[in-house]
Amino acid sequence: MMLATLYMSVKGIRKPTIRKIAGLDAIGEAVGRATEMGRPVHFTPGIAGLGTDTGPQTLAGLSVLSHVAELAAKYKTTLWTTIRIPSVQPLAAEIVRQAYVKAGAPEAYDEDKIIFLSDTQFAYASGVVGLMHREKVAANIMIGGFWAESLLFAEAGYLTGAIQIAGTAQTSQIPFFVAACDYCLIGEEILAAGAYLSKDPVQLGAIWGTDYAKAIAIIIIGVGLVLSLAGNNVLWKLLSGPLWT
Amino acid sequence: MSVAIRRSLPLVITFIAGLLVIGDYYLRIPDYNKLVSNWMSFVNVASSFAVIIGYVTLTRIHARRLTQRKAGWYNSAALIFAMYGLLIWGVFLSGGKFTADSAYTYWFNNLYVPLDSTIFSMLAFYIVSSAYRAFRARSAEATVLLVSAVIVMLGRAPVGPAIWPDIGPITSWIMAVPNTAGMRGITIGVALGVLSMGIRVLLGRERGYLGPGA
Repeated sequence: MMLATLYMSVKGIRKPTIRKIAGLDAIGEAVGRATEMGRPVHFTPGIAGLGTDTGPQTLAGLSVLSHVAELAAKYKTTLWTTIRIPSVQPLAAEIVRQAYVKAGAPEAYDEDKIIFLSDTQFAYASGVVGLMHREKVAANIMIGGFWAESLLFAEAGYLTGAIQIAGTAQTSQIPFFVAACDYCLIGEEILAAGAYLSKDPVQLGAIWGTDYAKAIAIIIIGVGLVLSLAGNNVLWKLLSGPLWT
Repeated sequence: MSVAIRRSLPLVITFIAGLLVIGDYYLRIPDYNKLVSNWMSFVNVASSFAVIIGYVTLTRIHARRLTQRKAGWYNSAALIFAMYGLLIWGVFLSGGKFTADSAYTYWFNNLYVPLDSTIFSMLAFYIVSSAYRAFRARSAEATVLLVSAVIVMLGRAPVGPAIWPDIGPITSWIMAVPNTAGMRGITIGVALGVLSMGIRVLLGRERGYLGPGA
């Protein structure tokens, strides 16, 4: 289904549109505000490892970092990127470097501003909180996988008076971000960020396909519910894999 | 290496590696499953080398801050001392015990663990602070949040059932029905979003993580 919608989008058979996501639209406003105040922007792609089932959240965060870095380079605003996962460090550094090159300001790129703090959760958290207070960040953007440190970051950002945009797919942390941040991307919205910001028809096609997949999932849940109540577990077995042994 | 190869090579590797791992979930072919298992071990080992990059970054930044006597330079000195002190102790001076050495574990358990717990415990205060701001009844949605949060808080604290015994079941209902339904809706959406993103990454169309213009 997703491949079919992707094909239709690429061939221009239908141009999918994506609804407005206030949090992503506000990134420009946040970086602009930091520029006006002469204070830096802080970005974190979360603490999820790339090789885990929460890895896509980090990739989504890095897609947003690409956009944030471009804006920061364009407005000549300092961008601090803090990293917890060592393997994300070179990726983030290259993304920011390319953004500065694309914005025509490669000399403004400072690799020391993409900083690995610690691979331990709360050591990383204290490093981020300390940096936000020391640098008095005016915009705090947090997109990725977050756990217990989410509220530490959000409250530190609040105390520095930063405009805060956060997003995560961790259901246990979404309430904290909703409570403490100005804008919050909920769940799958962060995974659509790359498509939303790039407007690439292929990416938009895949998002369009996700909507159909949701409809199919709802139908399967309904059918599964009825079958389970009837004592039949065929559907459950079919979806559990493996298909071939 | 040409620019075209430099751009397409990571995408080709991503595609092949992704297909290998997906196939491992659906297929039960012992040799193939073993190959993928070894591949995953290789990925873990390769990822571990990234720690060296982290060490280099931290050392460079804090050594510069130290030599230039920037504000808070003594914190950088403490960081470098602790980082390399424990590394040297664990690897070279532990007599082959590495991190199981008693001196190493002493510093870890008596310095690092309390600091870690302190940071975690600060959450309690931050929760109160953010809850105060979030629970102001500025709109209908915020009022629903306020009312349900007050019921759940009272129901989970000993004082709630002492005042009104029926608050316990109401709290359980809020957590088990509307809360779980909402959370599962988000979880299903996330799962499908991850699937969609996986397809885009496999096909090389999600390139944001490779940088702008990739």
